[in-house]
Amino acid sequence: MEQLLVIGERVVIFSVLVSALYALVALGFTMIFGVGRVLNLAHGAFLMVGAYTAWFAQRAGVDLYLAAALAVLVCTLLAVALYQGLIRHVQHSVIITLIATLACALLLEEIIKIFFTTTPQILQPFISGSIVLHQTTIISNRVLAFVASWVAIVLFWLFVHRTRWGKVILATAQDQEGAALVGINVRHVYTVTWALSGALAGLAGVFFASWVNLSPFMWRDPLIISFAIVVVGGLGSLKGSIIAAYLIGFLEVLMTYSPSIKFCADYRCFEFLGASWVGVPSLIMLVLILFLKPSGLFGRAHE
Amino acid sequence: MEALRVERLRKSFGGLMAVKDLSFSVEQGEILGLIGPNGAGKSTVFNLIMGTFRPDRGRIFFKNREITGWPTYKIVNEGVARVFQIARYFPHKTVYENVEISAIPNEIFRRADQTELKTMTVCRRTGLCGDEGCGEGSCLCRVQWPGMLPQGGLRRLEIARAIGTDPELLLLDEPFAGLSPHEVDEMAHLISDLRREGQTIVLVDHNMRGVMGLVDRVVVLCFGEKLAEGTPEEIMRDPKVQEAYLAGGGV
Repeated sequence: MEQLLVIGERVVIFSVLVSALYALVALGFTMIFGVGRVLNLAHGAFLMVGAYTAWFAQRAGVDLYLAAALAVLVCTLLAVALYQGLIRHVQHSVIITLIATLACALLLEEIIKIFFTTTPQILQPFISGSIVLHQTTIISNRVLAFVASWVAIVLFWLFVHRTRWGKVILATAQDQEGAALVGINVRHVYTVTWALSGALAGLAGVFFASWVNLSPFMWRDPLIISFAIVVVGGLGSLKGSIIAAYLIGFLEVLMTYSPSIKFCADYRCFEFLGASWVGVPSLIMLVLILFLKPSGLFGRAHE
Repeated sequence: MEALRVERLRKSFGGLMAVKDLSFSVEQGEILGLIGPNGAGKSTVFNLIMGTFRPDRGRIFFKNREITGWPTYKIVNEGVARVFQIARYFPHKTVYENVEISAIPNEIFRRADQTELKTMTVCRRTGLCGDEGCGEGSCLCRVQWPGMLPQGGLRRLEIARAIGTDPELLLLDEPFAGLSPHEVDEMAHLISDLRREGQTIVLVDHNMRGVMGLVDRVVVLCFGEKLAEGTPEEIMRDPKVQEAYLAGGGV
């Protein structure tokens, strides 16, 4: 019983922490879709580029805070370059856009492989050490990632709802022809949303590295997470995204701590549930939502 | 001075010639009626002026500056605004925010409170948010959603959104269509008020009688071609026009 309480406590604390990061991971992806109707399959690759930029700068002796700023800058430029150089010309076709962004993600994976090999790398944390909360030990860097994620989300919300540019972006999201008719340069707005999405991805990448090792394949998980969050939360809804991020984060952490059932036969074992099933619940939820409520839990909201 | 000049404009969709070598001009401060039976190409002309469609041939000048082929947003910022027959508002913005968004883009270098002042002025001007709708520090249009407005209110919202962009030329697409007789009167009032303030307007309608009292000059379109041009009195007497209208289903 005592043991169960401790596990419960860990599940709650860890899911609260990781879910904020998940929300940040999905934020840029949601925005690009909400405003420009583009599913950017290169979003996870942007995170990867952000993480590797920070890691490379750190290895070269740059202070990590500066390295993180560099990661944000590189991802912003990369996103704008991808939009201006490619997406802008194919945006009208959903299929071509999907293929183009996926190709871009794979290309970035190859480039990382060539320059940094497939060996997993570790990004040194901003702050080392850990804190103990009741009976749970938490790595300090993950607390920082949690705080930074929420700060970024709140700042993003304020930007969209309180500034002139935010209002223009929202208008474009609702009706791009209508936006042009009141004098808004829609292409300009798209460029800004891509830049913002890239910046958020760069930031998310730096903090994502506090949970996982760097590798050329690390873009897949964040992309799947973004997809699941956006579909479950409702396309283009910020509130829905955050709630979905917490739902998915909770299920994943719960799965990590759930006991597994082992079936063994002929010296080969198969585990049912447990830590190796971490990725499964969010995918099942994604499929279920697509079946039951394709518009997501919060529909296409006006946020 | 000429506000708008259209020269030998041509546009076809597949085999259908929607606009055929159309030329006309609009003087600053006047209301020009663009009249013609359904399918005469009136809306296509608006789409060509606003840059929604690119003409196959011909040129469009706004204040003696060629705007042919410009993107819509640039034409709007140059000073042309269009009012649609079917209101196209931002569904997830309040009435106030719908007007505000059109007042924003031209005001990059002004402070926010001036945007607010301008938005409220436009809202009052078009009767969207009358003084009676405003209570202590708040107005009805700030909490109202466009979906709650009646037909006449939606048309006012369309006009408010257009005026918010500070247009020198206003294109009105069938401003009376679908309105109750009472709303038609109010709309006619609003348009003549705008005219008195010096607003240049091109007004499209298929109903000739309804707009004759409002317009200074009329261009009659038929199958994409200019059939006649003149003052309302001249047009009403023109046998060619009468014939076209009788053939096309009445005045």
